[in-house]
Amino acid sequence: MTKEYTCRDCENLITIDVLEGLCVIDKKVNSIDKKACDKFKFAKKCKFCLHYSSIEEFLGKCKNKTLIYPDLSAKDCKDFKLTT
Amino acid sequence: MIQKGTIFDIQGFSVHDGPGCRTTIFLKGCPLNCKWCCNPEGIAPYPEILFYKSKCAINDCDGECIESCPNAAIIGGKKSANINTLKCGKCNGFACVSQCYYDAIKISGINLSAEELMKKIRRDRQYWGAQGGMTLSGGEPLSQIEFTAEILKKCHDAYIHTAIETCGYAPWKSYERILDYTDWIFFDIKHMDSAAHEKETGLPNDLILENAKKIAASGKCRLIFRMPLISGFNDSRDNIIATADFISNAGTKEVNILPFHNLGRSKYSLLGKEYHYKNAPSFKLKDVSEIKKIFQKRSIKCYPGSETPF
Amino acid sequence: MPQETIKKWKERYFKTKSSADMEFPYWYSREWFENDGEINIVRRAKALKRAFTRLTPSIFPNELIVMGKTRNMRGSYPMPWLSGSYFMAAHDQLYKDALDCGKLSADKLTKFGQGGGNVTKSGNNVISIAGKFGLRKEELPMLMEMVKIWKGKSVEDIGHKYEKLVPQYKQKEAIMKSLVCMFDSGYTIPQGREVMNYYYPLQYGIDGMIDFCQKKINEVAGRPDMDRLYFYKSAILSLEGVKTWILNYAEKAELLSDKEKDSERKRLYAETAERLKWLSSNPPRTFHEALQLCWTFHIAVLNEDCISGMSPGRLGQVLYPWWKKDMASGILNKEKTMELLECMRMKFTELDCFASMGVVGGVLSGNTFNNLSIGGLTKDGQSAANELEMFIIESGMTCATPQPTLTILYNEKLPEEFLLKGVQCVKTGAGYPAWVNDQTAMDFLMRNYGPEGMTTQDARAWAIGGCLETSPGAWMPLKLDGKTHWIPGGSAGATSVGVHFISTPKILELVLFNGMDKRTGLEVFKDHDYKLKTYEEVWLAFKDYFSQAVDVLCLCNNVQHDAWRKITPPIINSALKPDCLEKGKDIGQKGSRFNATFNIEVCGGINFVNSLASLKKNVFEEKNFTLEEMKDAMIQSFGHESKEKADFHSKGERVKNAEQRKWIKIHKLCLDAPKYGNDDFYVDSIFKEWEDWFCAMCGNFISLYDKPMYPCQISVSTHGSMGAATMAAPDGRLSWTTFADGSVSAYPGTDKNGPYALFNSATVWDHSASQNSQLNMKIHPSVVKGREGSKKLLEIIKAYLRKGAFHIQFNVVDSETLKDAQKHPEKYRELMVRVAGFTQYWVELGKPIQDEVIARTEYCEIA
Repeated sequence: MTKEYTCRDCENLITIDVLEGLCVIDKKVNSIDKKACDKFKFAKKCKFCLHYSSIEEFLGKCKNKTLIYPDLSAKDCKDFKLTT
Repeated sequence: MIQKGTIFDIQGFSVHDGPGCRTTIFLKGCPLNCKWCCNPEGIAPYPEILFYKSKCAINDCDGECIESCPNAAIIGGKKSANINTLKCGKCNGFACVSQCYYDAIKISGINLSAEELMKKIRRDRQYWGAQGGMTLSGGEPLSQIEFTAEILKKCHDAYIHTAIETCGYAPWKSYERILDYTDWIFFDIKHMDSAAHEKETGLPNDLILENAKKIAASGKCRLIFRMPLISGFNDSRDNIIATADFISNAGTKEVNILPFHNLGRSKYSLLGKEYHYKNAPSFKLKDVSEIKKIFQKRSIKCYPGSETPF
Repeated sequence: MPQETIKKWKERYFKTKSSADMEFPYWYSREWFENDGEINIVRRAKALKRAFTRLTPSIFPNELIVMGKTRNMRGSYPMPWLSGSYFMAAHDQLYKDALDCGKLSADKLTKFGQGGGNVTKSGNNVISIAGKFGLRKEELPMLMEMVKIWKGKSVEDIGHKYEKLVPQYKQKEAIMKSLVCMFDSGYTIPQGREVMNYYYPLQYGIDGMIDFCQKKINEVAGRPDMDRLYFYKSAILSLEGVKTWILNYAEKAELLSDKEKDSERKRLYAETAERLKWLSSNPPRTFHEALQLCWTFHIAVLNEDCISGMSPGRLGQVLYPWWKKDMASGILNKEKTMELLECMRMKFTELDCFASMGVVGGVLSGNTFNNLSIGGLTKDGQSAANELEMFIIESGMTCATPQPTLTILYNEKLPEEFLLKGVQCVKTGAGYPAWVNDQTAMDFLMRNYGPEGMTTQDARAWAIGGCLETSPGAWMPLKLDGKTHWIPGGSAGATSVGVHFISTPKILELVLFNGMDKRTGLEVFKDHDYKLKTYEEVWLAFKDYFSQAVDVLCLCNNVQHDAWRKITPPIINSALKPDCLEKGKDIGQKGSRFNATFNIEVCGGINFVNSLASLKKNVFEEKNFTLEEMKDAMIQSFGHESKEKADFHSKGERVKNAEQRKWIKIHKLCLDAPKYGNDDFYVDSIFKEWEDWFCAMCGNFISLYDKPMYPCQISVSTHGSMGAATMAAPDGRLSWTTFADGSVSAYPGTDKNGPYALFNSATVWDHSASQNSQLNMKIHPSVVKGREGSKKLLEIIKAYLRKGAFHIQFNVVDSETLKDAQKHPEKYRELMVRVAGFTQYWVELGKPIQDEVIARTEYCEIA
């Protein structure tokens, strides 16, 4: 399952820039497009939420109402429910 | 008659020609003809042509420079014009300069009255700060003794700190005349052996050494000796010791040694002159240290290059 | 900090890309549109609050000062509520790039290496925006959605709609297209070129500020001047947003601390969390806390608007009370002080500004112009330099980075030791500190802000905003441990809004061509009635065209800036700027203590003056050629191939065309005409006439805030970009080439009589009549080597400033740079090198000599 995901979808990544990030676990700087390892943990992003529905590849709706985008952080959203 | 001087450069923010920030004025004319000279445009007392061959585009212009020369000193060539320096310099107008649209011809040397020069000195004075002043160099400033004496006196009267850089070859009368108005003297010592001296500079050193002793004895100025270090000419241990002894006996305590460089060599080609030292080696760090020790043994303060306490 | 650590950080920094993301713009826009109908300023405050609370925090290992504008180290974001036209125009290209950039493999990463931190090309799932910012392709569709919903509602669109109502609007369009003027100053970077004021959070803390606003609400609710009510409400909302933002970072720090195994790092994260928690409510207790709070508010302000040149001001004097206390009690020592200051430098350097498209395209070149001022006077007129500022200079040497740049406010009362420390720093080749004249600045401030009640004492609180904008300050009474410390801080909003960069050489060109811009074919000005048979007529025509340009630009930019203050009023910056909190008005409503901040900027002045001198001598006095012949030569660029890009003047670099011989004589006459910078009365008197007239005429134009405007004379990078749109000129300059930089620097290669003559030329006019003047000087290290060299460098600085000049700064270049100078001499035209008993311009030395100068050992340096 984790093979489908990359570092940029992982909770353990601290973003440095649009290309690289720092992994909290292995303390290394990796490409954020690097394939996820076995320590992968889902970041709280709208695309991983039950209430997310896709309009097109990079646009969606929350609860069929509000326009959002898949990588939007849902960290403080009380309605967030992890789908996978 | 208004006294005029012939000058080839005025440099503001000179920082190694005396205390503080200074303006250094370079006068034309020198009795010596040192083969390593880094200011060759200072040797002749009259204004001269500087010819920038690489800028000359003789085949791409109307060649008005050739027609303008009354002495036919300029002739056309394949890639650039050629200037016969023996024929040149004898006119007064240098009409060729304004005829060259490529800026390939320039003049080194302009005539200024003492008052015109003082105007520039007074302007620069605003920017020297408390320590600075005016230095006359060249060429040999005393080769235009009337002009030099007038400038030094005027500056002295205006409480401007004065310094001169001299090769030492001038009548003692000339030095006597200016000592009261000169705060610092940078005095060149090139070689202690007169024959060796004459071979490379064109003149013996007796007068130079005599003048040095007399200036030192007068107690009137701060006397700092300057010694250009020329590899194979004056850097032998014997000569250094002899120089150090001389300085010590004269009763002075300072020497500024200047390791040779050939950074003035482009000027030789501009003047159309041959540069005998173009392939001479630069000085090595450790050699300078050895030389420094010889002076220091005799309690003479030795400043290499720009490492001066002023 | 050990040099190894600094080196590692720099390596990381150089690899890091300028990164944009959609978090802030998304939440700002969503909240805004969800609050349709709300009072505008409150609506904006809600939008700001929501955006701040939603920003993902990133904390990097070993950071002593934390928080950034976004989660990216060099992060920024577009603000479609300000401007979206670029994205509309680039729509198709951006989408194409998004499709293609996923195909490039990770191996191609090194392609981005060119351009430093700029994302110059799309690839690796990242889209390049304007050749600088990288945006993840996944975020592009949302960006375009945002641009769509703000279309017609952005500051740019509304401003544009209403500026068209200015009667001469069509002329303004032509002025912009022909590049007589560079920027729409009203909305592109509407804040900045000003000085921060950190006093309120430092004195009261966030909760204290919120309480204050709440009390004020009680006082003003229901009373006349009701806008105050909404301002205080907005201030509270924004501050709550900042508070939550800080707490989110605290939470992150705690999380990192929990996960961290290394005990030292664990402790560091935990301390950071504690510190942030404290500061989310309270005023700081220590220097470290105070510095962190200043930093937090600095980026909070930067996040609310598109800002370039928000200067930290006299931070060393602001933080001094805490620093002194901590040093006395042992909390701090020299090492810890240096560590914190070096961290601060890193944070400022990481700042990025996503400017709107009038300004990006390399003009800002990523510089954010955070200028830290040191020196100057205290409220009572004593020297304000202190030991902490000595450390600030020191950290500028141990951790040499572009930001913050340093400026010494030179005053006769400053200690020699402090000044020599500044000189030491200049000699490292860092390019800072710059040196400005405290007294000249205060004279200017009194002239300009005196009518608003500024006193001599107030004037002393000034500092540099942006790169070189003299900005008013105020003394604030900081109470710490029972003592009152009067600390300086900014007291006005943005300067350098108004009229941004009129190109004087371009106006002269248009005079000669009767208002027609040959390059674009536009009629910029109506044909003037002058026959141009005399020099005086040229001047009169110039003054006419110049005034017309200023007039219409002033009016249009006023409209744009009005759109800005209505749609996106500054709230966080207003909460910090005296006297907005007292008055209950934001900066846009003249809540600041001083409001006569709009200026008129020009560039190319020296080229313009040189051209006038050439016309006067060649055409009108000596009659060497006619005006028609001059115009022909200009069109032909004196017989050189014209290249449609900014390029440095160098005859050797330009290709002569077949016609060149025809023009060679007239070109020489133009080049040989008297040039500024040589203490030559002929041209310097023209320079004086121009300065006197320009400085005086600015006051005839009225800003949006109903105040007279004033002159500003700096070049930034406009001398390149505006030179690129200007034809060859009577001064001999070739078509489309760069103007002289700064404002009193000579045109490269034309100052032939040394620095003192240049100084004399530069000071023929009254520098206190202008917000600034700018002189850049290059010096070779050998000229100022050693202890004596330092003293002499200080002497020349003092000498120039004592003559009344406003500013000087130095590039002290070394042999590495000289090697580069060999390859690209056109960039080093003014470099002076001390050579054998003579000082020579670098570019006039032959290559063999240049080689020798580079290779020389220290003992081969010449007296």
